[in-house]
Amino acid sequence: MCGTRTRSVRSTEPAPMVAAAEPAPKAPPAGLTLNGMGVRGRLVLAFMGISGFAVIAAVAGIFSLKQMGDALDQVTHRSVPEALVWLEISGRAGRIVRAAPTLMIVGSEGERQSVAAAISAEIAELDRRMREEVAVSETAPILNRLGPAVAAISANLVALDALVQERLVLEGRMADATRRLSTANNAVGRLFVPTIRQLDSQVIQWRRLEEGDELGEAELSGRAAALAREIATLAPQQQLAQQLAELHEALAKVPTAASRAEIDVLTIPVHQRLTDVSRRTEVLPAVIQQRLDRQLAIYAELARGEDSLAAIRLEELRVLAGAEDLLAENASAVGALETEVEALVEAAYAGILQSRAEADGTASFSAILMMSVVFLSLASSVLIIWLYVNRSLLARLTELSDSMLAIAGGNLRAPLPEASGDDEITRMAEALTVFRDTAVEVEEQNLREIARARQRLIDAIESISEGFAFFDADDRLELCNTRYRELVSDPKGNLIHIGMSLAEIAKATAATGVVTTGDASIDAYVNRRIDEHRAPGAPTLRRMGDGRWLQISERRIEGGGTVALYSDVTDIKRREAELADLVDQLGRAREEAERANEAKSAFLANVSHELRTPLTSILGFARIIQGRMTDRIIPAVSSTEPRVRRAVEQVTQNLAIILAEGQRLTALINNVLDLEKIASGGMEWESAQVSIAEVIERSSAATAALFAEKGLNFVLQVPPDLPSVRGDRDKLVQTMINLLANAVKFTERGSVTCRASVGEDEVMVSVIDTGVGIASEDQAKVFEKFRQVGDTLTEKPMGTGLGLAIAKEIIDHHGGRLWLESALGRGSTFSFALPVALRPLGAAAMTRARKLSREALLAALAHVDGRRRKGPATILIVDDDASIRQLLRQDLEAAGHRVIEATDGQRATELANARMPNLIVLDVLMPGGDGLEAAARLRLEPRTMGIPIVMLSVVAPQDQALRGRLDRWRSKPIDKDELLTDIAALLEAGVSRRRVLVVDPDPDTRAELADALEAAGHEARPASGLADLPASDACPPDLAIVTTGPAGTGVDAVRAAPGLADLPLIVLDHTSEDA
Amino acid sequence: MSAPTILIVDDEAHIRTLIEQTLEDLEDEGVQLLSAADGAAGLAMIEEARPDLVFLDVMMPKLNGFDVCDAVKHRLSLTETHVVLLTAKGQEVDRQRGRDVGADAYMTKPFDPDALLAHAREVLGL
Repeated sequence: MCGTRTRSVRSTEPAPMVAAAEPAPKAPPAGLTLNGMGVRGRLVLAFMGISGFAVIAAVAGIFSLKQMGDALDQVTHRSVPEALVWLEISGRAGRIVRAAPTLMIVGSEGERQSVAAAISAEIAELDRRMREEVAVSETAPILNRLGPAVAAISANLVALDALVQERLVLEGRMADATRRLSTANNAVGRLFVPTIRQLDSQVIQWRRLEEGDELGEAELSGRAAALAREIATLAPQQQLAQQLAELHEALAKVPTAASRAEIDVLTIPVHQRLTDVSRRTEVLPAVIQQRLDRQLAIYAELARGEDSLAAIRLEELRVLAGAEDLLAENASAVGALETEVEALVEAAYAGILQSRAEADGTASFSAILMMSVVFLSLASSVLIIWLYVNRSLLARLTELSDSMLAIAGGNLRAPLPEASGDDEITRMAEALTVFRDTAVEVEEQNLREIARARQRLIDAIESISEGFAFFDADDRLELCNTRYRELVSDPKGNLIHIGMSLAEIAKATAATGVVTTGDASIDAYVNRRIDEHRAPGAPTLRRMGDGRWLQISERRIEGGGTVALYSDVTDIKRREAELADLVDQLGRAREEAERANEAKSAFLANVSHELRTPLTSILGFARIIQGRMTDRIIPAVSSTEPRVRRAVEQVTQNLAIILAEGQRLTALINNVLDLEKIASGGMEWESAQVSIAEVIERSSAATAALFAEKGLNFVLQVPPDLPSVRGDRDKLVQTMINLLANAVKFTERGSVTCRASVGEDEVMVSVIDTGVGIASEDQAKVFEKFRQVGDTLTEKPMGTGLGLAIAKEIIDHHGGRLWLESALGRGSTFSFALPVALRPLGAAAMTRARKLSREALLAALAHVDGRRRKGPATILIVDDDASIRQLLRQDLEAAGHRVIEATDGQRATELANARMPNLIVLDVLMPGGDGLEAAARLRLEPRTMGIPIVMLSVVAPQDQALRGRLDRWRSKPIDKDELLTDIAALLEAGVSRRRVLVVDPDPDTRAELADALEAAGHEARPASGLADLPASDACPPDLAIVTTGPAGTGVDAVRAAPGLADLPLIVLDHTSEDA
Repeated sequence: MSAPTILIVDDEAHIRTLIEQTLEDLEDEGVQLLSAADGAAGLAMIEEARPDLVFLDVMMPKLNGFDVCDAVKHRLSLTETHVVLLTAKGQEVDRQRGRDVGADAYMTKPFDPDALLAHAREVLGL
């Protein structure tokens, strides 16, 4: 236990401490101790040192960041805007440059004005920005150089604009002239078109005539000549028109001419043609000539003079040439401007690059500064921890934890750190010292306790009356008491001492003869002893050399030792032997008693028979003599002689006495036999529903004469609806008669009351008399056999003295109790209580069993086969009600059947056996015997088992199983037609085919029984044993024939088998067969 | 049809006499009374005389009543012969055995002479 605790302490608590202490190197204890300053103060100091360096590092960082910010500001505020301005100026200059071509291609005056305005605005803005910049910028020289370039471009653009304006005017004039040319051309065309059309139509007409046959050759040639003439007149007009077309064509090419030379080439032929045409106009009709002259004048205007096409085209060419010059000039000015702008942009980039370089320089300086400060800060922190925290705190804590671990490990003598100073660690060390001292004290106390406990244990072991020995896991003797040594004959320790192994002890005791081994050799004994010791089981016995017996009980204990107890059982062994002798004698005595009892039973049976025979003669002859006396002798004696008459009277009285005593003797014999049968278990008991009311009624009827004889009142106090009990009706009636007769016997005056009551689950009947009563000391004896209360020498015993004993046996058999309440002189009350039958009318009523020999069974079955119905059917009617019997008889006789009758179940079964009816109509509820019982008895009788039975009942059976076992069930009141239909159907079917389960281990017997059953018209279901029963199906068996006894099984086992609990059962008993 | 015949089988002479005297009245009415002193003789007489009614003791020398009855009912198949077992053995086992061998009635000794006479009258229909 102690070890376990130490391990757990070691593994948990100090672990964090060890982990914390390990990285720190061992340092000499507390070299830099600041006396008077606590651990908290020192830690605060160290924290402040480390924090101070951290603050310095932070300040340096902030300074560096500030430097970098300044550098960046410089870049942002100075260089970037300047560069941006230059970029803007350059952009604007670019746009102005790109404006010239746009100006060149404008198509209208409006467009020109807007482009020109845009360009002017651009130039003005550029000019303004440049002047602004010149005022503030440091790069003014560059800007000053830019100025002339911009001015040149500006002037050039103004000139260009003027040219464009001129070009637009020229374009307008050119368009006007071209339109006029086109109008003139159209007008000329219209002048010649009618003539030409006329000619065309005449030519077409002539060709048609030429191709057709309408005109003769002469006609055709005439027409051709006319046509030729026509054409000849029109030819000059056509020629003129041709010339005018060529004139127009030449003029139309002028606006697109590319040079002055080309214009000249085009216009010179025009002039000639104009002159030529003017001369040839006289060939034309006058009207046309007039019109043509007007048009020719227009042509002439367009060909010559200021507004001629050629003149306009020449102006245009001149303007275009001027524009090209201006564009070339413009291009050179733009080139200069772009050069200057590029210089500006480069200067801006250079400024930005310089600023960046400055910023980079500042940043790297700051970084170096910061790293230096951080490094210094880290170095100083490490130094603080190393020199200060570790030396003055951790080293001492480590030392302290080592001491704690040593103490926790059980070493209470471990050195403790010396107290130095007044801080927390010192106080912990002091506390540890206190703890250690306490632990030492506790340990010493524990050791003392252990020693005391051990002594107590030894004392206890010594005080045990048995020998005690404890062997350790290696089977060595570790502890034993003096008794142990005494038992193995070694009180002085000469043979056995502590530390010896079991083998050595066994060997020593066997070799010296202390133990009688019984083994072949000493080694065999030693081995057996070791085996027993290592796997101890039940106590073992050992015979000692001096004749004593030792019983050794051994038990392994946890942790591997063995405890052995040695008891001296010599006395017990001796008593056991004596006891065995006694048991033997008892067994023999019992056997003798049983034999005697059997002999007594046999003797009683024989004696009763031997007594009955003479009694038969005595009683019989006495009865005959009595009859003869009454019938013949007395009437014949006519003598008036008083002596003769007295003699006759005396003879008559004597005969009555002989008869009465003979009957008493018979009753005595019957009682003796009954008691004997009950005692020996040979009594046969019925088991049926028994109505207690019926029992009381029958017994009171049987004893009515006794009451009348003694003049006693008989009082009945019986409630209605008394429940039924299960049992033997006749024997219960016998019990009741005994009680009543007993009451009458001991009562001279007064009355006898019979009172019945119903309890929760029992019914109670009391017989109360007002007779002599029984003293309390005698009450226990009244139920004893052959005892009567009172002094048998002075009081003549009455009755057999067995009635109450028999009554008690019968009530006991029914699971009830019989008792007596009485006081001397105050009468007696005999009461019995019986359990109420819990099972209602049902299958149980059919649950009967009977024993039968195989031969009787086979013989009865063989008998059945020959008794098939021939002729009219015999029907047995069983009912206690005469009117019902009469009614049924009439109906059945009317149907042609023969009828026999019985009034109760008992007679019904007898009659059925004697007469073998073809069918039985059986009432269920009858006083003389339950109908179901009768049905069961019939079912169990091989001869009658096949007779169909129609049950009549006022109630329907709840039990379906029961219903299934009966052929028909009809309720009262009887429906005549239904009943006759049932009966006709059953008679037609003949013997009812019963399903019979045949259980017998012997296959031959089984086959024999099955054959006999089949021959008798039944269905046999053979099985070799209860484990081999056929699987239950829709048609369960009606009854079972089971072999019991040595070859088969017991009745209880049969009932326990599935499906056989409620089945009517015929038991074939091999034992009874042998007997 | 000859006169009705009753056979009495009992080894005790007293009992035979007793039964004969009991049935004396029937003799006056024309019934023939026969008797035999043991089972074998009884059986021989049954076979020969074919009585209508037999009063048969059970415990007899040579052949007991059960065996006689069994022979009569089953071997000879004389089912019309009414056999009354008349015995001192009154236990249920014995009654059952009587039924098994086919006895028509079972009476125990000591018997009531009046009952015996009444039974005989009933069987013979007198």
